[in-house]
Amino acid sequence: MHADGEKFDAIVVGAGPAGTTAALTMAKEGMRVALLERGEYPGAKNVFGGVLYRWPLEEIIPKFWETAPLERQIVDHRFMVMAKDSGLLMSFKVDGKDKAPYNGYTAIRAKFDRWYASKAEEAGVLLANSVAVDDVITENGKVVGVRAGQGAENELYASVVIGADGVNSSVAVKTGLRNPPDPDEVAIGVKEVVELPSETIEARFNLRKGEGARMETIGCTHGKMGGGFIYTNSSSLSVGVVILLSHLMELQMKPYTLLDEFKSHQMIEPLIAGGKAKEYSAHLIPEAGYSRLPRLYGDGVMIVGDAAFLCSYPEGTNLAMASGMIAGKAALHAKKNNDFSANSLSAYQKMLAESYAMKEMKRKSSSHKQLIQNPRLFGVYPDLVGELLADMLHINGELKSLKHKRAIKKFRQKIGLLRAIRDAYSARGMAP
Amino acid sequence: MKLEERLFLDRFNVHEDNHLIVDTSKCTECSLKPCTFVCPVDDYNWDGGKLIISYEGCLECGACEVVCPFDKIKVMSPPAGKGVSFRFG
Repeated sequence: MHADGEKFDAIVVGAGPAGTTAALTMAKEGMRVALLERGEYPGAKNVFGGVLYRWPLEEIIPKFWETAPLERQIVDHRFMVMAKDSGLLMSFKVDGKDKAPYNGYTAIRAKFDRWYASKAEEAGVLLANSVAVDDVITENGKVVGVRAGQGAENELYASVVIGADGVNSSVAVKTGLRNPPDPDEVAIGVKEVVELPSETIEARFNLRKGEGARMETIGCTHGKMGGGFIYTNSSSLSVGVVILLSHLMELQMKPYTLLDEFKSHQMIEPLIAGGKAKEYSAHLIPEAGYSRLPRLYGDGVMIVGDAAFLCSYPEGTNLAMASGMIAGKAALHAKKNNDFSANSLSAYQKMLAESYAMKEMKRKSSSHKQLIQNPRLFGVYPDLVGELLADMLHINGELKSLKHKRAIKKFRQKIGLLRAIRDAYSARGMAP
Repeated sequence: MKLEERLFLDRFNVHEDNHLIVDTSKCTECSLKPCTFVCPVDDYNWDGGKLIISYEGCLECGACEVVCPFDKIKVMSPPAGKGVSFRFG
């Protein structure tokens, strides 16, 4: 394609939320964009356990909720502290805020990503599915295109390449912007989609018709950094467990064993009982945190979304979209000046640094590191909460004043006041 | 639920060549063998002193590549459009 002079303004590798957003942002302003997806359709390789927030998608597609394939609007935020034989569940709803347009939605990514990419096509993006990019083409140190197989017919050229190819990004690694992840930079998530009638889901989760709940749990990862989740879809539940990969290596456990344990816990089993498993999936989740974010641009290249490690619990897809949008804007700027050098594209990282997305990641930075090094929050505390509440709520003729004293003693033995203060400080990044 | 039942749920576009490129020269030196337990579909099994690698059922998560202490595992993308195709995701 280089030979006969045909060249795109931009090639975007990966049609997930980050890539499609970047493609859409550029195409809307008249850039010629190719969007390459290795799956047979957008979403085929993606796994989601989370909430799709209205921001920033509504900036890109106003009133997207009227046409997008969404599952349920999230009105119920549930947090659980789980121990082996106990569970403490908190559920939060607020009237007024949780009304249309809603703040967040659950989505089936195989449907949503396809819909979203079709919006990019409507804006003029050339979407090519089943194209597996395995290398970038460079000339004099500048990225000038991508390769999807052997031979010149599998080369495609553009002024800029945007790597939106996920956590295992080959664009990010081949361009030297970052190394493949280390085990303490990613978590593994394993998930099942469990089918249940919508009325059953609404009854079990205390929801009105069409409303949805998110539920996140700590204490189900053997004291390691991670957690369990349930997200309500229209007529299925996404049920899964996430654990930092280096911590899973310490446990020497299979990830699906953690999932089995989670599903059979007394707090979870009744919620999924009678459901029919429809799909089993696994995916890595960036957990590198702000301090290990790579440089996000080079000569003729930018990386966005998971490829750039831009992910921070509980936000992923929105950070992906925000980075895609800003990279798209930087590319538009570069096109205007006909300058796709690293210096020109550095505008992307500068603009991103000023955005909500990056400021949030920065806020969580040191907390994140402390939680990895010292995951007491995921084991010691949940166990103690269970133990103390079990003792307190069990009426057996023993005076509560004695139980209180015992509780304080246990707290001192297992944690201690100063340590608790330190742990609370290190957990601040977990605060929703 | 058994792993076999789980994998039966998923849709795969089968391809012929193993996309998990493994150099097994260091496996006997590797005491932890993390690939044999982090893989969510048990594609790595230590059997009679050597590593048996299958790629059927691979969900393309890439965990094996990340955990290999000797950096001897490379997860390639299956050929275009092949491999797992999540219907929900």
